[in-house]
Amino acid sequence: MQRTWAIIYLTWKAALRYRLVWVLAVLLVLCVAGLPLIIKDDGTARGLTQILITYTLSAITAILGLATLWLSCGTLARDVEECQMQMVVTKPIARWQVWLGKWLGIMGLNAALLVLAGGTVYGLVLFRTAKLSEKQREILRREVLIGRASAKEKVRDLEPEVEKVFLKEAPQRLTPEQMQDKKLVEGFRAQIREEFKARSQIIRPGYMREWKINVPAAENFATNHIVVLRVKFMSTQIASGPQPYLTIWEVGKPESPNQVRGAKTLTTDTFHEFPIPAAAIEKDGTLTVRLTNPSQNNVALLAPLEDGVEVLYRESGFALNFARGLAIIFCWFGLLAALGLTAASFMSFSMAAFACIGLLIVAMSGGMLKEVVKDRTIFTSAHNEANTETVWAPVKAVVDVLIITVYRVMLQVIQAVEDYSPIESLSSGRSITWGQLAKAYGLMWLLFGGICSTIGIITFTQRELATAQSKV
Amino acid sequence: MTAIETLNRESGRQPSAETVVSVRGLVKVFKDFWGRPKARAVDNVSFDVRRGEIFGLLGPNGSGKSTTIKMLLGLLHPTKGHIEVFGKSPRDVLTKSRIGYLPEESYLYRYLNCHETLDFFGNLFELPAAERQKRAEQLLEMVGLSQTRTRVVGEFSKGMQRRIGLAQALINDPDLVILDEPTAGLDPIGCREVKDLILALAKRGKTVILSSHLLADVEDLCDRVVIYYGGKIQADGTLKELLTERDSMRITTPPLSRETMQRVLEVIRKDVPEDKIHVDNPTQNLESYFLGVVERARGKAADTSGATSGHHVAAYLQSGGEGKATSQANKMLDRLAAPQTTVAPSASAEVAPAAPTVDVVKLSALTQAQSAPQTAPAPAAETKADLGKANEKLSGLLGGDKK
Repeated sequence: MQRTWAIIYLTWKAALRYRLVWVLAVLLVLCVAGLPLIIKDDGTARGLTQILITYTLSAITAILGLATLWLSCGTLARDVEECQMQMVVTKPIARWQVWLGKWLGIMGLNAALLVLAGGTVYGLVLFRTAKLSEKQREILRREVLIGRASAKEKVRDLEPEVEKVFLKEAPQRLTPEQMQDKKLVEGFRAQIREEFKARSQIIRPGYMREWKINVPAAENFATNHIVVLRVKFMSTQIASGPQPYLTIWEVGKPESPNQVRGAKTLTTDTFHEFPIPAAAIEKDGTLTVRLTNPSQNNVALLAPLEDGVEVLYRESGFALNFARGLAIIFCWFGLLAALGLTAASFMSFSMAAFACIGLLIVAMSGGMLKEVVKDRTIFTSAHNEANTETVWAPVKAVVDVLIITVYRVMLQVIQAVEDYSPIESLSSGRSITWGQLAKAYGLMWLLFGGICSTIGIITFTQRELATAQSKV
Repeated sequence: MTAIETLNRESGRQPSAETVVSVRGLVKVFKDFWGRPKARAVDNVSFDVRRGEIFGLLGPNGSGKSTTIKMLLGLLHPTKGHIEVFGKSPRDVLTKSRIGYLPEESYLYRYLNCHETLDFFGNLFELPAAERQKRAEQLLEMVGLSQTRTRVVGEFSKGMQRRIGLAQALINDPDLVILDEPTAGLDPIGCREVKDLILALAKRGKTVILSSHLLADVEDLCDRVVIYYGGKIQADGTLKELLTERDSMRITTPPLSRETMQRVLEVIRKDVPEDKIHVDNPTQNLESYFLGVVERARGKAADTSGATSGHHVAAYLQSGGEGKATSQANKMLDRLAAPQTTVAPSASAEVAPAAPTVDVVKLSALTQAQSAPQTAPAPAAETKADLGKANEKLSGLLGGDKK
């Protein structure tokens, strides 16, 4: 470990002596302190705090993310190019230890800078909150400056029912030839599935929809424990924008003394949050929620399966949640550092930096990747002449297969990483649980980082670190 | 024969039979991006290096010396052939703990200062903090950089970088020291100190592989050499084998009277034609003369902002106890430290220009009794002082035998 520590210290010293750390620290603090002065908000304390958290954390992530890539490419590739690596690897240190030491060194710097920048954001939020009225502070404490866990209705498995209907209906509606067409059969199934979903979502005028939501650990809730119902619905009527409708909500077991009822006029296509008493949750953790669509609305309402009704309850304080959020951002940096070092393991500094930043830009344009994967081609034939098409068709087919495969893998990685985005959770007061944190590290460090670093270390170990002309 | 070489031969240093480095059929072909052969840098090279030996790789630039060294260190992979260092692959990590390496240029971290540089490399050898500190101090003292320990290496002159490079190569008290152009960029004093150190290391049983295109370095130091050209070994063997001229002889004596000289020549003339006999005064070589001048100047002067002459050789490099100094080692070191007094005359005979025939007038001049030459740089008193200083300097290093 002493050898690895030597490399870690060396990486820190390089960053300090080349003043990279100081420049980044000043840039981050300026960014965090300066951004709130130029951003526009919706005028509410909640909106301002949410934007403040979102913008500053996004800026920190962008600056430190790019710096991580740059530094990780530079620290290894420059050492190889300037031959210092020849002095190191001729000592009794395995090359994987050099690689690991560099990674740990970069992550140590990231940790220090992230704590500095994150601490500044946290202090700024508390400073601004302290100036608000007690009422606004209470709203912030309940909705933003908190770590709220979420509970939703268990998603019903529709497949057995879909299959049952399919087996009954398909022989009557499809010919034997059509039954052989896999695409057609799957389309028929999808249609049945959508019908089932619609039945679960649509609430006709005068009808009621009931949700039974299991809230974990509810037996430990004090009577004043913060529990919030977050709802969203749509109407089946086409409208140019959100429309208000009267809705009747019943929360708690019917006929229970703890049940609460209320009529609210809420707009469509918007998330609404309102507090509910913790006592409405039964002892077994079940919370019953009913939404009635009064007849006077004369239009069916639609409560989406994914985010129609959700219970949010306090799981932790803002400080702990914020710390876990920063830990996930730190996890991203770990992956970026591994990526940069892997590129530098076999490329020159300029090539590695170019490749990594290029990859990052492609990864950030996830929409484009999705389009390409959906279209199954990177080419557009709109302006191509017929002859050219014929000549180049086989080449294009091969390129498509390769690129689409790469894009598909990239999309999956991007999707997996995006699933652990802490910035949105922090700005909306959502809890980042220890489980999520562990999963993020498992996925990004152990799986993706592990694959990346294995490639990097093997390449670096096998590489010749000198040439006849000394400089590599 | 030069002073150091004479000492080297006289030191009684006998390389062991144990093979430290074994190279067989080594080939290195550099290829381009597409895998096409670009240059055959090393072509079917084989040699062995034994423990305690100073082994020289000699050859012009681009002859394959450095490529061979880089393969010995595992920095380049052989295209063909086999290398063993201490019986293992050169890429074996633990084997590297026994090797010290000085590359041909300073590849040190420019943002570290002297002390941090040595501390960093000491850490790579997993030396404890106290030991690192001790060795760093001794090494900086030894290479004459103790006054610049807090200056970053990037600010150093080439010679100073060379000195700190040499210090880092010795931080682990290596059994095998690989030095690529060790005297490149050093001033004559530094060159001499490095050569002294190399000899001292070999005396301690260390094996030294030296690559150089400076013939004087190789001649002064090496027991055996291989001579490279075009990637191939063109000649190999001990210096004695390679350099001895079997068809001539040299006799060195104190000044003789004219009559004695005439008698000697008469005897020789009976067997050897007149034009084959050369008689002249021995001269010092330029290195010895220069060192004497600087040593005298140092007595009168003056601080320097750069590297100073090295002093006590790092005590930890001596594997035996300091109190175990054997008389034989000290005698050798005495001679090593005071080349002007006993060694230089015999060494400098080598550089005497040859006269075409025996000149009677010149002979007369030669046979006149001579005191110390007027231009001699090191008067007797100073030579004694030098001896004492050099003795002190090296006694720390070579106080006891290796075993």
